[in-house]
Amino acid sequence: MHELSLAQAIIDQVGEHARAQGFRRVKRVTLRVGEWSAVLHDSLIFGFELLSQAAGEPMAGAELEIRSVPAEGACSACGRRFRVGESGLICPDCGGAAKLVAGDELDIESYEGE
Amino acid sequence: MEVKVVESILKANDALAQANRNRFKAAGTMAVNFIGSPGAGKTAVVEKTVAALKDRVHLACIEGDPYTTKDAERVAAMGVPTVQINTRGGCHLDAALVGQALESLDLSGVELLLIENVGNLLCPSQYDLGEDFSVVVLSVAEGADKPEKYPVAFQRASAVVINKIDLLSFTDVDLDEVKATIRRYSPSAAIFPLSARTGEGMEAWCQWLTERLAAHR
Repeated sequence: MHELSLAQAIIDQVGEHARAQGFRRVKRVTLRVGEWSAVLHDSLIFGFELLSQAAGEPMAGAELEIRSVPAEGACSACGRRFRVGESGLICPDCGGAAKLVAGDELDIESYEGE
Repeated sequence: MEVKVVESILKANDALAQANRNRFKAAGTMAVNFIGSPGAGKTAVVEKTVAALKDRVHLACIEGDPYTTKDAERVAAMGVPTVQINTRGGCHLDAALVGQALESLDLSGVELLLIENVGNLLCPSQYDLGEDFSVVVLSVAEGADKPEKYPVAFQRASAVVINKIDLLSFTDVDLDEVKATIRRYSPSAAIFPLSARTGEGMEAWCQWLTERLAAHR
């Protein structure tokens, strides 16, 4: 992917949010990143920390934590939710077609502000 | 203090995509985003689709490419309004780039806008451009395992074009296996094996696209 530009987007978005709330410092940002989102966690953390070191208040020195979200399908026929494995989005119970309901997230979940 | 946010990192893009979507809707344009690896034949598929439909459908194209204007020249040569977006090395089109392209493209009367993304199966699948739906272009020379390696692009696609079927006899690829793999990751996508070069299979694909257009109207 293009992790550095994602890192910059996180710094901009959280920085804006934190400033509006009156925080002077953001210690840590927590993301939810789906396993199908094609993001390299290590590269994103590396890019984020590089940019946050150079950022002004309130993002200066912020750390990044990533929570991985497994890919899950929900069967359109029988409704079963299942972890996506080698059979992809085909329901392991009834063989019906499923939709991806989790695993493509690229979300800011929370941050620790001071 | 822990502050809950829960918003997408791609929020800025998603807002611009919605603005593009509103423009398409206002103009009555159906926009299609073509995603595929470099060399899968996206331009050839777009070019042959334009050739097949241009007398019946009012078309326009946006061509995304890292550097050159070669693709846009190929399509524009057929007399269809075409705008080139050069991403200058960028790995995907985003909604802002498409929004800029729309500034120099008159959508009034355009029924179908074909947007060719940058050759890449990963990044483009995360960026909503405001399109009505996306189509993955795959070629038989790429092997049968692409859907497993790039599930998101396939999962989001409404159709998958399997291009270069004229080369099947030169590969170890089994077309049924390719289709089965696509169905595992995109159970409801329409699948079109075709050759943009020989024209084989183009009719079924163009028929499907025309039907989608009729439903869109």
